[in-house]
This record gives sequence, C-alpha cells and structure tokens, in this order.
Amino acid sequence: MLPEAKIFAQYLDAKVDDEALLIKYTKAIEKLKLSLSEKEASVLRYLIKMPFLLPFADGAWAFLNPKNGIRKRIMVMSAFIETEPQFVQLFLNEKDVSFSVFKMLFRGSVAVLRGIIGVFLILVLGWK
Amino acid sequence: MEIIDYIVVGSGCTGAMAAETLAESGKRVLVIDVGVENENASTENTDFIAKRFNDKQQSDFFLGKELEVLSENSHPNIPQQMAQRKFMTELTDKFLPVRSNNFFPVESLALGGLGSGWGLGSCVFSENELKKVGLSTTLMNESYKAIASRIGISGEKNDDVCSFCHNNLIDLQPSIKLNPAAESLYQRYRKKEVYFNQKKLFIGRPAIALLTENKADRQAYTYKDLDFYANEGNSAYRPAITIHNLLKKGKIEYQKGWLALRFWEENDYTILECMHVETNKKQLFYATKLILSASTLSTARIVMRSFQSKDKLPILCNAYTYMPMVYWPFVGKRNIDQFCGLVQLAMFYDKNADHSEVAMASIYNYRSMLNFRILKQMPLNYADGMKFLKLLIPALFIAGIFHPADYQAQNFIKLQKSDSPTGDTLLTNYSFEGNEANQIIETEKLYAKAFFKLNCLILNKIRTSTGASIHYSGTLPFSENEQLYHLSPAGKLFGTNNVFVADGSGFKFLPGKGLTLSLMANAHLVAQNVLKNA
Ligand SMILES: Cc1cc2nc3c(=O)[nH]c(=O)nc-3n(C[C@H](O)[C@H](O)[C@H](O)COP(=O)(O)OP(=O)(O)OC[C@H]3O[C@@H](n4cnc5c(N)ncnc54)[C@H](O)[C@@H]3O)c2cc1C
Repeated sequence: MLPEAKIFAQYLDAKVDDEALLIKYTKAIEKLKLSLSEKEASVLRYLIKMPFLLPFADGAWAFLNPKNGIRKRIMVMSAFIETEPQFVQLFLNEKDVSFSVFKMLFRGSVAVLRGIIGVFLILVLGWK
Repeated sequence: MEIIDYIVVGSGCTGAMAAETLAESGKRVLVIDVGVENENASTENTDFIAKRFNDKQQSDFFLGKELEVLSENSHPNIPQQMAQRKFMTELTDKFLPVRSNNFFPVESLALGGLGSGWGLGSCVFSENELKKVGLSTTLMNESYKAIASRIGISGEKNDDVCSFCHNNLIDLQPSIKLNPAAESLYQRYRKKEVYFNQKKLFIGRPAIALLTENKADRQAYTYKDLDFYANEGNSAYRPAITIHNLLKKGKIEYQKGWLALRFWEENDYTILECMHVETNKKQLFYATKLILSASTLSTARIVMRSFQSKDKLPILCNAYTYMPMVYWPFVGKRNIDQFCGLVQLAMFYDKNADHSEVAMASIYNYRSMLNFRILKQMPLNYADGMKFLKLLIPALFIAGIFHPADYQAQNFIKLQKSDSPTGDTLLTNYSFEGNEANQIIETEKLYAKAFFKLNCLILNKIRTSTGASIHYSGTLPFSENEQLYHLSPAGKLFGTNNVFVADGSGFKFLPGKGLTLSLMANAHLVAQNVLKNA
C-alpha cells in the first residue's frame, strides 16, 4: 500500500522525507477497513502509474461520486497531513495573504476546471 | 429495604440542577445514572495554533487514538464528533434504541449527559414564550436568576439581543471578546441596524454559560480555541462539575451503571426498577419521591414502560438549518492565537414583533474542527480544495438557525416491543409539513438575504434531518387538568402520587432558541415543588 500512500501525499503537496507518515496511513486504512471495490482497486493501480490524472479524477468524484472509496482514502491522508506540524503551513495562513480574494477565486476556478475535465475523463475511462 | 428521600434519575443539566436544589434541604438525595465517563478527557493547556505548529502527537488528539474521528460509524446528527466527546453518546444504540425513517435523536447516557458537550448558548424565554410552553413567568424569572448564579453566564448588557437572551434578568459576567471577523461583521451590522430592525432582525452577543471572570474554583476563559476538545479551568459550565462538587461536599450519593427501566408506587413510597448496563442484573431502589430527569425521550420511555402504554405520545423538536458562508473582507487573513470557537454572535428574527415566535441563528467561526472535515464535503478535488480553504477559513462563518416548533399531528413517539436489552424500541416519526415547512423556507430566505447584506456569501443551505437540533420536548405536556401522560404545572406526573418530571418533557412549545437554561430553571422549580410537597 506504500506506493498509494506516496502518490496521495505528493498529490496533497506534502513532501514526505520519512516513511513514518506513509506507514501510519497504511495502518489506518486497515484499521478503518476502508476497502475498495474491485473496480476502484483497478482504477487506483492506474493512478499509481499515472498520478498526474489524480486531481482530475478526484475532482470528478467530488461532483459525481463523493463516497468513492479512493476519495475516502485521500481524506484519511489529508487528515494525517493536516495534523503533522511540518505541514501546518499548507492549512493555516501565518501572514495576511495579499490579493487573497483573487487567489481564492483563481484556485476555485482551477479546481472546477479540473473537475469538468475529470468528468469527461472518468466517463470515457469508465471510472465513475 | 432502604427508602431514600429523593431519587433523581439522570445527571445531565436538569438532573444536576434538581439534585443541587434537593440537596440544599439536607435530606438524602441519590442520583441514579448510567453515567458513562470520559476516558479521553483532555487536560490540554496549550492553544490551538501552538499545538498545530509544535505537537508531533497531535493526530491522536484531533483524530482520536483509535481514529474515531475518521471512522464512518458516526451518528447521522453528530457527524462532527470529537474523540474527546464520543463518551457522550456511548451505549445509546444498545440501551436507547430508536426505529425511524425520519427522526434521529441524539441522546446520552453519560455523566453530565449532553451537557458535557452543549454549546453553552443560554436564553431566557419571554413571557409570551413561557405562556405557550406552559410555565409561570414570575416563577421562571426567579428561577433563571438562581440558575445563572449557580452556573455563571457571560453576555452583553446593552445590545440589540439582550431582550432575547437574558432580558437583564440575570447577573452577567462581561461578554467574551469577539474574534476579529465576528467583530467586523458586528460593526457592519451596527451601520445597517435600522434596515435590519425594520425587518425584525437583531444581532448581538448571545449569553453563554462560560466564565469570563473566575468564580469559586472555576477559572475565566483563556481563548485557546480548543473548546470542542478541552475545558481548561472548567470555564465552560458542564453538569458534571455540579455532580462532582455535590459529591465532594457529601451532599448527594451517586450510583452509576444503572439504567432506570420503570417505577411503581406502594402506599407512601415509589419503587424504581433499574438494570445494570454491564451485567444486565436488575435491582430495585426505593424512594419517598422520584424525580425523573433522564431527558425528554428517555423519561418518556420510563413512563410508557411504567404505564404499560401502547399509545403514541407527542414530541417537539426544533427544525435546524445551517449555512456555511464566507465573509469576504476576511478572506486570506492571518490566523491569530487568541481565538474562540464558541458562538460569537446571534441573529434573532422576531416574526410577530412580540417575542412570541422567535427564530435564532447562532454564528460561529470555523477553525479548530480542522479543514479535512469540510474538504470531504466540498465538490472540489482535495489538492486544490486545500489551497482554496486555507484562504477561506479565516473568513468562514457557520450560522445555525433554530426554528420554533409547535405540535403537529404527524409527529409522535411510541414504545414497541423488541429484542433489545430493555425489551423495547422507541418508534418515532417527525416531519415538517404544511405551514410549518413553508415558514421554515421563508425564514431561511430571510436569513440568507440578511447575511448577504452583511457581505457574506452563502455557500450552502443545509436543512438537517429532524433531530439534529438536539432540542426535544413536549412528550408529557403540562396540563391544568389531571390526565394521564401529562404533568401538573408543578412537574408532578398525573396518575402518580410521588413521581415528578424535571426535564423538558412538559414543554408544550419550543421557541427557536437554546432551551437548556429554561430546562435547568424548570428543574430547579420542580425540585422546589418536590420539597414543598414533602
Ligand atoms: C453538541 C451540542 C450542543 C448543544 N448546544 C446547546 C446550546 O448551545 N444551547 C442549548 O440551550 N442547548 C444546547 N444543546 C442541548 C442541551 O445539551 C440539552 O438540551 C440538555 O443537555 C438536555 O439536558 P437533560 O438533562 O434534559 O438531558 P441529558 O443531557 O440527555 O441527560 C440525561 C441524563 O440522564 C441519564 N439517563 C438517561 N436515561 C437514563 C435511564 N433510563 N436511567 C438512568 N439514567 C439515564 C443520562 O446518563 C444523562 O446523565 C446542545 C446539545 C449538544 C449535543
């Protein structure tokens, strides 16, 4: 399960330099019994090989299938990253951010665009 | 056979207040409770920001050692449960089972009951509201004072909402300092006050059961923003504080692990049958007077079992809508150290301009519950969503709107035989229909418009499933006439000689406000009536 943990951490911009977080994630998935359907497992194998597709697929599931098993696992990684002191600046502003409304709208638009592309992607690839 | 003067069932807000009043008489008081205790109680004394930046073990604290917070088995109406508060609802699935398609009440079998995690919002009911509830204004006003001086309440003496919150009836400690975003929102309201007041909308600082000054051995609040996880210095009022104090002073006895099942009366005493939650062993307790304060629904179960009822009882529950919203001027602001996660402001809507049918929106800043909980609900991919939220969080408000509730024919509870440990399950139905449903929609629209006027962009309008308000009452309505399944205005259960009900079961109307201060004031009155009746 480590490759999966690695691509999720990278996807969330967490530069992981030790394996502790990845191991913690792996144990958590077992503990929480977050199993994947056969189809989800095969999609995840693709994503491990082609991680650049992850933001698109994730964005599409967020629209169309928020209960998707892979998305649930990303949530676990996101919760772990959020509670690691080394990544806190990914979640909290330490200073006022200039042009913040503009930046937020930009980030929101990018996310929506990725979601729209993702919808086509998962429909074409049958990943819904 | 040992006959105790007063047996109180339950140690929640109502049980604690009733026990304290009864204990003042010097007679023997026994509190019987299931009393699940908090094994994850936190003695944390750092602040949220310091913890986030420094504590390497913080995931145990925020997500739970057993990852409780990430598990999918949470109650539908408390999806945001913290590991430190999980004990509040433990054992309820097993011992307070409910069957329903549409009503999922939150109940507690904990020491301190739901009061172990209540939001502290404290409102007195107006004269018109008390009339509809079935309570005497004069007596309740006296009782509000007594309760406020016991538990400690802070609030603002002179703003637009004091007549909705405390009506200058109670001694207040100074109100909390507002978070910067809430202060800014409030100032914006002040500039547009006339417009809002014409629409019968009023914003101000709600009264809350939180100390801003030291009181006895409890300490003033310290703005560490860990309000959902810890209670440093016991600044927030929790009923367990009262129970522990009474026990320390030897004023009450406390038996935990016992689930009260039913009662019956013999000559001049009452017998209470209880079951031990670990062994299922049954035991009888004997009292001169029995005071039920096990919460509206749990008391109803005990009464229905005792009367072998096959009837339906009525039930009231506030409808609850919440709206996450962004306050534009605070997008991208720096996160500050001194911060408060408790209710900041309240917006009241006085529909008839006479305090008879009021709705209330409690306004919170969102921060210490962490971003991942929002991310999983957002229609955005996680990576972009994280960056988006980082900018948005300082500007994020949640407004929770409570709508007033009157009896509706379709809403009921009923006890049904089942193979649960108690031998029964509570069958419930609750829906909002007709005029009530239309009024809810109208009120939501009005609030959305009002927040927009204050530069807030509403992200969503979530009408929660019924039961989510966690405000329940009215199963055994107050009545002047003696009839079964009703309470006398003094809290005595008709059909009995010595059984009293001190929780919300008698309230025949639920204003769209926090009910708990009124529940506690009523419990104090009921206990006084028990003493008079002795
Ligand atoms: C997250 C949250 C926030 C809230 N915020 C607010 C707010 O801001 N303002 C407000 O006014 N209200 C609020 N409430 C509601 C408030 O908590 C309740 O109205 C109040 O706690 C009810 O008190 P109670 O004593 O009637 O019942 P409970 O708190 O439910 O206590 C019941 C007690 O009885 C015991 N018990 C139950 N059944 C039995 C039995 N059969 N045998 C033995 N013992 C039994 C339990 O162990 C418990 O000790 C909130 C609730 C929650 C959960």
